[in-house]
Amino acid sequence: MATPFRLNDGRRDWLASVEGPVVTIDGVDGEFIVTARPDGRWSIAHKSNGGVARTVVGAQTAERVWTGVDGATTQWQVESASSRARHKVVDDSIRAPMSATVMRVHVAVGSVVTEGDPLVVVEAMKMEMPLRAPRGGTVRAVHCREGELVASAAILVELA
Amino acid sequence: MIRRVLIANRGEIAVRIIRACRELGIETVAVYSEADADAPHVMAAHDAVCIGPAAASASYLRATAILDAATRTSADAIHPGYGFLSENAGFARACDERGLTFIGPSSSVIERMGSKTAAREAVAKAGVPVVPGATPRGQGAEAVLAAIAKVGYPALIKASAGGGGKGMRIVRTEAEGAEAIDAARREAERAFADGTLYVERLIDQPRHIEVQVMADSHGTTVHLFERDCTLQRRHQKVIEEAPGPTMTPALRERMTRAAVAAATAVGYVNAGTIEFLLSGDEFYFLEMNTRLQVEHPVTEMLTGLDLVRAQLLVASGERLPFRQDDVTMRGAAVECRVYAEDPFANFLPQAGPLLRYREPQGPGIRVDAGVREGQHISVHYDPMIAKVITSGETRDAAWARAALALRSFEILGIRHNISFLLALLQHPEVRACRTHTRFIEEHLADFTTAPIDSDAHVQVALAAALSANSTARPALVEGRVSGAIDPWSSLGKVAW
Repeated sequence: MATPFRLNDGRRDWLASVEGPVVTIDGVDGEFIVTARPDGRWSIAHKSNGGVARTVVGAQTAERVWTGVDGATTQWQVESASSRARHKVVDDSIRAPMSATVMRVHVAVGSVVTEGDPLVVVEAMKMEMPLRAPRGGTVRAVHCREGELVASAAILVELA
Repeated sequence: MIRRVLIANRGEIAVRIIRACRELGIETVAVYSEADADAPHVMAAHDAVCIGPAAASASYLRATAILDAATRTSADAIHPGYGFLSENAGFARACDERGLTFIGPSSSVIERMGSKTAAREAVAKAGVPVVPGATPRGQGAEAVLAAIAKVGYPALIKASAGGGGKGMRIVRTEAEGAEAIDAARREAERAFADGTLYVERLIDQPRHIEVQVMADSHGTTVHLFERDCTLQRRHQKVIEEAPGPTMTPALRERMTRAAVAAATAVGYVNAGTIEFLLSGDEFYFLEMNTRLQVEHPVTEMLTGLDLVRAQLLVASGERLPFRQDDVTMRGAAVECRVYAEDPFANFLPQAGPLLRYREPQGPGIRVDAGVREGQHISVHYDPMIAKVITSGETRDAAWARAALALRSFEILGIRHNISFLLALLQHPEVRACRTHTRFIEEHLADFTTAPIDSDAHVQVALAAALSANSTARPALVEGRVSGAIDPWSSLGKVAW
């Protein structure tokens, strides 16, 4: 029985279903045949392209799938297409882009900000990154202090 | 001759230096932070000493810990690499005081060339043209703003002790001044432990041309031609090449002569680089880097000479292993810096595990890297993963090899900038050298578009197949999959 998946590369969604080594992609003609090679790479043959195979590399962790072809790398978020559609959140939170040190906090609870205002400046890998307001509004909560080490995706500031 | 070298650095440059030492029969000592305990540079050295926790300020920037490690392991010399303590005159002096050979110029020369103002004065005296600039009368925001007004807008704020784009900000209007001064000072303080700022006029649309020099303690100074490092992003070099594609023999003659004059004037010994801004056929001294450069392999590929080997010989008191007449150019070379950063998300630095890491190989391809498959790229250090350097009979041949090498590079588990580098290598304006140091920023959209669809489809297919295997695993194990091809059975016990 074919297993359907929804795959997202950070830019768009793809729907694909897998049956053994055969993959079909929604909106793309022809089947793709996936074959493991002895060197740890994969051959992906596209049937409607005369069966010509491309060499692709792949790796997987518990949360993510990675693929690479011709030097480009893609990080995939994969979920079973049968699970309910992902909950779309209107995000009023400004999150840490990666684990980083908070260098400056420019706002306090109640601060009125306009779009583009620097809220927090974080530093990682010797680079400073200002986190700016995605829209205008009032600061509802500040969850970080200057000098604090924050985890990736931690909520730093919330807008009301 | 130096007997045992401690390398006060990490990553690819530490590995590079260890190789040169071993070729000369010199023993090596690595130092490492707690985050780097199983890093390749630690494995490559004879001995290794842990010098502190992950933060650079608590390890690779801690001079006393490094000097103590040298004493403890009976090293007689220290190679600082680039970055960290490489241009710290106090560190070079401390090496002298402990009887250790600092592989680089003397502390007094580092001090002089490390101060933007003293360096400008020194080279101007030797007849080298300099960019109009000003030293603020004091380091308060008002004094720095006054200095900016003096040189005129647009201006560039720089860390006096700086390099590598850290602590540097462009100021186009007075209104941008205060925030830029603040940010530059903080970055400078963290990167160099010195927040002193300096201001100069921004030369519009220049090329960045630098001349490699090498001098011994017997009075010989030679140049090894120029490198063109015009392709930068936020003052961080991205692609470097040699020879300079827009250089004429007459201009090369003037610039290399100026570089040798500047080095000679300050009594320079060991490897150094004189950086110039080139606008039309006028060039201006930018700064001197009193150390080995990240992009030194470009010159090595062009000339066939080994700069680190020469550094070790010169530091041992020997004569340079080549004379000016021996230094010749063969074809062209180019270096692409592979960074752990996401070009599709504002070049955000990335951290994560290298699930798969396979370097390209082949004629004319050199990869300098200090990472290995399975290693975790941490947030603590510079996000450079590797340098891919290629050479060829012509610029086109070297660039074709660079594209081949980048397309063959397999890096999974972390986002990187290879697509961006490939787009740069193929861009018509870049190929035709109609570029300047802010070209990338001004044409960013050209290099950060998504890859083409045929590449996307095969990746979707593999991602789906891998996901299906992890969810349908029990069925596969029980062998209930129909069909002749079972792509997974041949892999045996793979940890999915």
